[in-house]
Amino acid sequence: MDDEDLISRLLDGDADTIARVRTWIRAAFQAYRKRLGNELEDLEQEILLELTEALREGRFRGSSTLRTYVRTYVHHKGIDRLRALGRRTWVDIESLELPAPAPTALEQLSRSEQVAVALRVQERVPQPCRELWQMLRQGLSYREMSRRLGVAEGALRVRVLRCRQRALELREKILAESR
Amino acid sequence: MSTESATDPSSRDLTCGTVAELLPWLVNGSLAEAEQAAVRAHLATCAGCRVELEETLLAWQILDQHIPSLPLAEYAQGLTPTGPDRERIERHLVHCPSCREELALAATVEPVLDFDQGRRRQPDLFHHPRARRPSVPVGRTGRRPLRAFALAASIAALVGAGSLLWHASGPGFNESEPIERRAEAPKDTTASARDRGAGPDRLASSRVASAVLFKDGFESGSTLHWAGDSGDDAIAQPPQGFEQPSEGFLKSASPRGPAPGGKG
Repeated sequence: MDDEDLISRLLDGDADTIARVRTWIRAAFQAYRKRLGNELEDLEQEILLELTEALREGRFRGSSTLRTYVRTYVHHKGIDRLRALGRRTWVDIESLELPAPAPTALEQLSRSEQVAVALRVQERVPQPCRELWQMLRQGLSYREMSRRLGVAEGALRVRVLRCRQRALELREKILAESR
Repeated sequence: MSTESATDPSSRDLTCGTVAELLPWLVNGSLAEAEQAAVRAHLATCAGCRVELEETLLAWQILDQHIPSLPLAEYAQGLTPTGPDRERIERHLVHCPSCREELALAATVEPVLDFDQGRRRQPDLFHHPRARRPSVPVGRTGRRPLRAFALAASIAALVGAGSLLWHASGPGFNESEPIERRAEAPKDTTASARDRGAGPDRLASSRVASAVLFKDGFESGSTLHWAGDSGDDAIAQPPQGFEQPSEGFLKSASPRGPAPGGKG
């Protein structure tokens, strides 16, 4: 049975085909079983519905097999879910009534362009700077970071501030280059 | 903008410089309650520091950018990623442990399912120096050596067995007899000689059996049946059309080689 038949049967609600696609989804989910646990059941249902919708809308371009398409989709959703779970609950900054400045040059770009610019900045910032930010992402306090890095707290805070400045300068430079 | 000179972050009165330094830890939520309250109080009254906070958030957005999950999954599956190209993804993977970890998950080799007749393609992401390679070989590349090894082991076992038979069925085999005399012993085709394992006939039958084993790809066939069960005369005189295997046959025969005198 080729992919076209499979898609057609899936969209017709053929039980065997649905079971088959479910098996593919579950096989790809094996990697996430430990981390996502009970969430997998809901996620499986969600993926099946979204896949059916995507296939109905003709978003499957046939550049891979249907199974690879399903597998890719499962990993996409699985990684998304892991990232959502791993995201720290940051301090409520919105309540600070920040000023609403005009959209920056970065914000005027499309999402994919913003990602590309950010990735380029990351490539150019020095490795110690990336490491500092990784520690910040892990939610470490400046005391813990200074202890781990063996530097004074004040020196560490200045380093992080410089790192921030460096990243913003690089962003401006990259945006200027791409204009 | 306040100009207090306090340097203790837990103090209620902070300088703008100290606040700017503490902002990353305000964002990651690790400031102690007193520090956080002090920074918030300062931000509430200082427009300049609120701009600093905006910039910190922007820097955070840039430095906390990862490869979006869809292109990462596509990359893991060997597809063309949507968005960042492969080179950019690979450069990011060099310095991002969390994306590498996710990539390893997305490239996990799945069990082979009953539904799937074909074999999946090995994802081509592992040229990345730090990406983890699955320890279990996948697909054709992993199975061929095993099959070749099994085949080689079978051939070696057969050759070994043939060699044993060769020695065991030597002319007038007698442990106490000198080797030279054994070799010179006359061909005795009497019943008594055959009973104790006469050389040439026994040798012929063992060679035929081996030849048929090779010919049939280790499956018993009609000729093998003939070699084992027929009478003495039949052993001495094989059926018409059957060509006696040559001396070097056992060494040169291939499991898939043509049957000696057969249809090949």
